[in-house]
Amino acid sequence: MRYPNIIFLSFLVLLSLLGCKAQKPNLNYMNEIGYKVINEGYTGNNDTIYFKAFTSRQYDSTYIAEIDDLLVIDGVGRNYREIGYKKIDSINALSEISDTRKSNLIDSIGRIDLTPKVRDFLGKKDLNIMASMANRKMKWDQQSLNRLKVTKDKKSVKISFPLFNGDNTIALLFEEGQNVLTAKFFKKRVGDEKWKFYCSGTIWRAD
Amino acid sequence: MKKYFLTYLLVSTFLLFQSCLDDDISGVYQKTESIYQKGFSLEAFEDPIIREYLAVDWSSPVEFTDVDGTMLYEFDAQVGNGTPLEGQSLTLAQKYSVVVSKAVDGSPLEYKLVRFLSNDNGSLASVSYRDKADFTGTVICYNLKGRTEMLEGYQQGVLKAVSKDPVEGGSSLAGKAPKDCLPDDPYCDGGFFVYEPVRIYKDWYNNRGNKWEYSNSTYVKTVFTQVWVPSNIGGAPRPAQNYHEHIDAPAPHAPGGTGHASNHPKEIILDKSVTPCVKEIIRKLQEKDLHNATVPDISQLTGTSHLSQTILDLFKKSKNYHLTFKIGEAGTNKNAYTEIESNRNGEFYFIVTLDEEFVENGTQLVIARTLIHESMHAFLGYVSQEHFLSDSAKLLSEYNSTYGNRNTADHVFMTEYVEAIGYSLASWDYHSRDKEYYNNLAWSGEMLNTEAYRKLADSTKTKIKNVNIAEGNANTKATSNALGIKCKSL
Repeated sequence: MRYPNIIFLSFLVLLSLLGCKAQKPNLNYMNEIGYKVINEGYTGNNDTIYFKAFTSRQYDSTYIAEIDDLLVIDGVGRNYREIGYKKIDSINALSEISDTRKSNLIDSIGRIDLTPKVRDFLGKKDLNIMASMANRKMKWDQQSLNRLKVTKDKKSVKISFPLFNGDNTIALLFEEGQNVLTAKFFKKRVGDEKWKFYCSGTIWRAD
Repeated sequence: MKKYFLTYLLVSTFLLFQSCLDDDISGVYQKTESIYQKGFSLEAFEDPIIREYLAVDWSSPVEFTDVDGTMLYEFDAQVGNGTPLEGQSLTLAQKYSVVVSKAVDGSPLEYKLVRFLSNDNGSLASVSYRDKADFTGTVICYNLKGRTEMLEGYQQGVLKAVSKDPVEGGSSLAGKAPKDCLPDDPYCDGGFFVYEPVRIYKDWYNNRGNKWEYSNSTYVKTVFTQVWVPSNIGGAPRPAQNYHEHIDAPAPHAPGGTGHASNHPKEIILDKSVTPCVKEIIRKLQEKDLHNATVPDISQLTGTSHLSQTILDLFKKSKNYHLTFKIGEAGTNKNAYTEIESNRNGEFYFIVTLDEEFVENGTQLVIARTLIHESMHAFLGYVSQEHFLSDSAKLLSEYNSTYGNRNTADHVFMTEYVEAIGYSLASWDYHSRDKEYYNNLAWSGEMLNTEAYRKLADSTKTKIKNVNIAEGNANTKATSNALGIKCKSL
């Protein structure tokens, strides 16, 4: 054997390449089954959700881990929004504080209810949990379905496998329509049966 | 002999005098300049700001000896107006020196470019390589290719940390350069060097008479600068700064005359993929409408505002909202798409990508329409974030709940502004066509899937579809019925 070291090295390189491929971040999706999110408070456009894989290198576990920096929340569920408006009304009704103070309070309180940032409701630890979940192979089985209720139906919008935070109170899924990709967050208090649509951020939109 | 002696004396005296005169005028100085300046070149320097704008004052070096006994010359240098490095919440004063080792035995001269990057925006007038005075910040030593050869961290003029031969590049803010602690330095363990990305933009100007007017900025590249963060700064962690610098183009005209005004009007960015034709379309969209201007009513000579001009002006002036235009692959059947991103510092980035097929197939008129349309998406994003209690933001939020996604919400909202989009397009086109034509072209993309569109008269819907086909799209070329002209025919 003239070049045993080279052959051994090549073998190691091959193994490492195969290893890298297996570890490549990947959101998991289920093919060919139509689903629709039916949780309380979720007001979709009544399009049926087609639960099919969409491959996305760009919006993978790395993106999820940094989503608190990147995603702009541009939609908040009606119930949560109304709470925000009520808070602002009560601030405006206060007579004993100055207009400047009112304005500052509205900016801080109103912003969190009406234009929240991801970091307002998800910490780094939870995002890391979600990001690592996106890297795992998961089966879309009945147990998974119970974590975020969907119903089997037919096409139009694709959703990704939902990702959950540490105490299972917040879920994130990606929803891809023909001309839009949105990240949607759902909330559920511990012990509650149903998830409520909380907020969403548009990642891209087309003409 | 006497005659020759006198001549010899006169010539000698003249030569002696001339020699003294030379010394008086230029002295050692002219000689050192010729030696040291000759071997200095930044042609291969990586950072374009330094490469293009560093000016060295070769006329007044300071001679000194370093700790190893090597004789050194230090020359003051400056980039542009000596502008600081600007970040989101920090502005760092900076200055430069060129330090040259003295040639004693005929060996090649050794140059280093020294950059003093302060931890604040205080004056650095008293700081030099020879005497750090009360400097607090980072001293970066580059070779003439821009490679960092040594980093030093100073606090109140005292050397606190050193990194020799630091690793180049790196994309992580938290990336730490290796560091050699000085003996018995209590601060060394806590301080560290971080790589900070610095985005470099080129600012373009139009010359109107004697006045330079900012047009747009193009992204050039990102370079990395190492910054020493002392351990005892206290308080909250320093936020990411997103440092940026600007080069004026065509240099060296620039407001201020130095070629590096660093005025940071970077809020409309044109990617290098944007063709001259599309650049010109975007430039024209920023112009006010002069259609109704009547002389002698001089107040109208500046024109009136319209949708695209107002939106682009807003992004041009905004510090936290940035708009970028690109040309690329937008996906099947799509003329354009808009991405939205944010960062920890509350800056928002709207990135509009025009499909390359669309730009090739469509007329300039339909490209202008699509640019207005996509800019409107960016504007609605701005309204939702910045004016979240406005009626428009409330309405958009309500539409978002009703239709399930923000894209549909935006397009439903836009159907209420068809005439404004049409007017803006007419303004871009100097009102060359019938108003109805512009209004019909204002309907596009997802707007045709709204209830408002469905309610239009069939004849109107036919006209809308026809103009959209005639002017071209990502799938089909503009037809002979188009009233606009294509970019290629310029």
